[in-house]
Amino acid sequence: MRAYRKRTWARMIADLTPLIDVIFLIIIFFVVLINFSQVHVRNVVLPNADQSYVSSNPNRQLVPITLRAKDEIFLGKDRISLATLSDKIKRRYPAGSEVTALIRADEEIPYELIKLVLTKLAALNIDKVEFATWEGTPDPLIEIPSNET
Amino acid sequence: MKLKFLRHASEREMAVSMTPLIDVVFLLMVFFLMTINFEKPEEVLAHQLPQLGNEASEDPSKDWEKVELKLTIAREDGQLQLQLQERTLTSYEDLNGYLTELPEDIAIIIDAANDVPYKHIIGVYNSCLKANKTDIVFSFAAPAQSAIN
Repeated sequence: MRAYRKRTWARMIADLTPLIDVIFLIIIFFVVLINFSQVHVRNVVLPNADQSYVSSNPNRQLVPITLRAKDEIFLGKDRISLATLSDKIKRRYPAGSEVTALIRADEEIPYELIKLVLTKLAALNIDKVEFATWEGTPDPLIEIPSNET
Repeated sequence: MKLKFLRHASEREMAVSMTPLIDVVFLLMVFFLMTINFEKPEEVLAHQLPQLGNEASEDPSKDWEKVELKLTIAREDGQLQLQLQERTLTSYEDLNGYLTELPEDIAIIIDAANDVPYKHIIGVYNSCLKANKTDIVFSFAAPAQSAIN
């Protein structure tokens, strides 16, 4: 009788080791996945396009320009002003280097700002430009008010 | 009797309480689950800028028929309208349908008002690519220095 009771009690003990193993694995997964990099400035809502593609040359030298607003311009992770954009690019990428400008602009940015950036790039002889987009159907030209049912 | 009591006490000290560990591990998991941000993969639309001052029309090797796309804000209802030569289009579908009928070696000049949101520039660019029109030029005059600063 005593032996039987002991065996039942032994069966009741839950082995927590695999559970802890799995939980630690999940935590390691999240820790590895979390991205603290500021190379690409976040919170930019890119425009949608269905003709865009993932570039076939991941080793190309990029000049990442992020435009969130007229006064929120980033070259890589550094916040700069539009007036200093050319100088910063010249300093970072010597003349003659084969670079591609990657424009990551918020979808609501006025075209005026894009125009200014493109003009500056052309003046620096950077003729390869890529517009970053998200895969999707472009927003319709005629905007329907959100309160309209 | 005394010895027995001591043995009980040492057994109690040896037991490792897993509860706080599991509490912390679960808290970490909840933290990561709440903060994780699966970003949409970015794609690109490639564009070749002309050298500054060299307009496409001045290139003698190419005898392009020009189609000019103008994006303007309509005054009557504030909605955007595409002005394609003499035609007024109100959707990308119309634009795409019209462009598809045109020969493939045609050059498209996109001329947009300064206040047009960038997403519509990309929308028009996307429509041109969809209709196999790859010779696309952005039309803009060199900006004034005051606009840059």
